[in-house]
Amino acid sequence: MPMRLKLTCRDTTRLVLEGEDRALPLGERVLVRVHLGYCRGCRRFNQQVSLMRGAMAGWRQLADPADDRDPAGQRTTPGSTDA
Amino acid sequence: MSEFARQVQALRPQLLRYARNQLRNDAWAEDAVSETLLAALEKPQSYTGAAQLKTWLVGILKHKVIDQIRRHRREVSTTSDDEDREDLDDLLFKPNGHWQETPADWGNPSAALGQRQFFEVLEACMEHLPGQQGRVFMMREWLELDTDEICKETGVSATNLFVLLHRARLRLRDCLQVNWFAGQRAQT
Repeated sequence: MPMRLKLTCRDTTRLVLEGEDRALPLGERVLVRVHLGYCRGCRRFNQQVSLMRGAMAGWRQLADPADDRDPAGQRTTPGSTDA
Repeated sequence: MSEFARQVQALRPQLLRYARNQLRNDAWAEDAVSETLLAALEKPQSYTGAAQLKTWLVGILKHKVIDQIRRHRREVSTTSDDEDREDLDDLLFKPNGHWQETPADWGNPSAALGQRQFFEVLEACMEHLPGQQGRVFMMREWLELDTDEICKETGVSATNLFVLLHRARLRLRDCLQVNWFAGQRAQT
């Protein structure tokens, strides 16, 4: 991608999403920060992505009963149900 | 059947659901789960009881699932196109790169994350991701592999992988917006 000094919203969302899967280089992080500073839409998008990250972490915990939280009241106790 | 075998068998449906969600192929999922149950029943002594039985089985299942991905590597790496011609980006943005519609405010994360129904919606949204997108997304989020590992196991190129993950996350976001957050807004 040709790096401009100002990112479009489309570029920003792409980088925000890539940030979930790779460490963004400093230059890209700065450009994203600058854009988020003045763009409400992208700030909201960024918050949505954070929420999804938290949601996936929560889902992994629910899927793994080693965690305290009750996985949606599903049959998690082995042998507690009869087939 | 021993009590242990009965308990292991009882978890089969749950394991199958995880395997299907990850592999997107019923036959492969059945194989992965059968291999998991077999491994568990052959070596019950390796279950120490330290973790819950389900946790232990899911740990085995993750390995068996990766085995399946390796075994079907060719199919996994070539079933990418055609399933998602529609580019969400083009719907989200104007030609000048600005939002068509400003993203909604999803509010305080704890409001959604504290609700069991939210996770049911999330899981349904994950299951509805198209095959290849769903597969790499689950590898990232369930198997918790990094992108290099996913490329290695699937034979998908890095460029392609980032496109797939990008689309998967946009679809997931869209699905949550429609099936959860839009409704929450209407209620309040």
